[in-house]
Amino acid sequence: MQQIIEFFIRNKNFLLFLALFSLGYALTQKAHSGLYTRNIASTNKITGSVFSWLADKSNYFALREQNEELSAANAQLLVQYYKSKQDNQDSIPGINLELSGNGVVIDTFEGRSLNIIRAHVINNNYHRLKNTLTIDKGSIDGVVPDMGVSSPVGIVGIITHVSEHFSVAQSVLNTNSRVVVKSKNSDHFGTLVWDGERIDQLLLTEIPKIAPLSIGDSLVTDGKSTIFPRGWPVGTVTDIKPAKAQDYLEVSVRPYTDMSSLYHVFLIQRPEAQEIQELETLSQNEF
Amino acid sequence: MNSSTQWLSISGRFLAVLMLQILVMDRILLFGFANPLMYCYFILLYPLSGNRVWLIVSSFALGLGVDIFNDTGGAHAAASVFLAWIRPTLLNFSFGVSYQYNTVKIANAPMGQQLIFVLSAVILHHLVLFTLEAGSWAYWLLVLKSTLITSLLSTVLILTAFQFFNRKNT
Repeated sequence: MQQIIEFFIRNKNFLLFLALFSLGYALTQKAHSGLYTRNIASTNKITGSVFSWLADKSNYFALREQNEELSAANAQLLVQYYKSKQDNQDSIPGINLELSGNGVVIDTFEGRSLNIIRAHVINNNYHRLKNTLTIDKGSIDGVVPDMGVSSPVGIVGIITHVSEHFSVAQSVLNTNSRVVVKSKNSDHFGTLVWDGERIDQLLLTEIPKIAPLSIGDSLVTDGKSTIFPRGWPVGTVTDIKPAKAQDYLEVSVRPYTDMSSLYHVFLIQRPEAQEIQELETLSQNEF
Repeated sequence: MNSSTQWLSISGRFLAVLMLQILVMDRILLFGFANPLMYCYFILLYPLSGNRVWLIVSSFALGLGVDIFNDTGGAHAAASVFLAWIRPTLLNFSFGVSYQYNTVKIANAPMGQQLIFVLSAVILHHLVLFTLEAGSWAYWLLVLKSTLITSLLSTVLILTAFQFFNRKNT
């Protein structure tokens, strides 16, 4: 007994190191699995308010860029709006904005309604392998996990964690990110991933060789996942190579959004998402 | 320096380094990905005669503070604990056994010894950190690249801080 106690006293530094290191390791693994504890993420109250304060201060310097991006997006939306008016809202996909109170916009996209919440990015990182965004809207504003996050020009990420006033999204610049996208011109689809190399380059994998793709093509979301609606803008094709697996292509994609300069974002929810998910779990349970 | 003023200066440095890391350093991105990690300064400059248990515990707290603001789970905490634990070995390696007899002041030691100490400490810390953050061996090349470049940045910053704040009194 004496010896056991002495052993502990003699090695107390190493044992303490081992215990705390394992704790840190466990927290890291937990963060990677996507199941954050609420306390160890930037959705909590203290970190959230620090980030809000910082975002307030640093926004001043980014105003010009943000304004330009917004006015460009406005112009684009106006064009789409008038086009869709002209064509009886049938042939051309467009977003119709109808503002209601407290920043929530009830829109229609390709004739179906969408819930859109306007929000701001208060913490953005893009230099790591597992990048995340902190957003200044939380459950009080109607944010729920699995909502899509989009800038005025294209997709940005997916909400993973929500607290009362803040939420955290997994950026498309995250090696865990998987988004199903397709070419605007055909229905061949692939998975959009990130290899951690460059912030202006995503990879489209698992797309069959026979898909009619060429450099400069626009990519949009596929709508097979319940997060983004079909046809939401993603990016353009910059390079096409044959993949290691036969019959597949590996396509480099430049996202429309400049991931290093983000402030105004939309949180998108398909109202039918829950219904689709319920139906799918029901059908899975039968087998 | 009596023990209560030492305690005060340690906790003051702890807070200053944490604030500096979160409010200033985490906003800096050189070459698009290199984010200097200056908070190692606290662990490196912890008094040589200080209690090792407290060093390990406070390093964990410091790392966890940085983790909370970066959404990295516990990667910074684990790397900091590792650095705190391996520090005596690095001191021995850089300054020789004489550091144990309190004759060495890190900030006043020859520049070459300082450089070896800070660089080796920072590289080890960053290597553990980026490996944990990547979460898989598949990214080893990226991990090595970020370790190398970020280490150089952090080392320059920490050595500069040594010259500015600790030349006279420590």
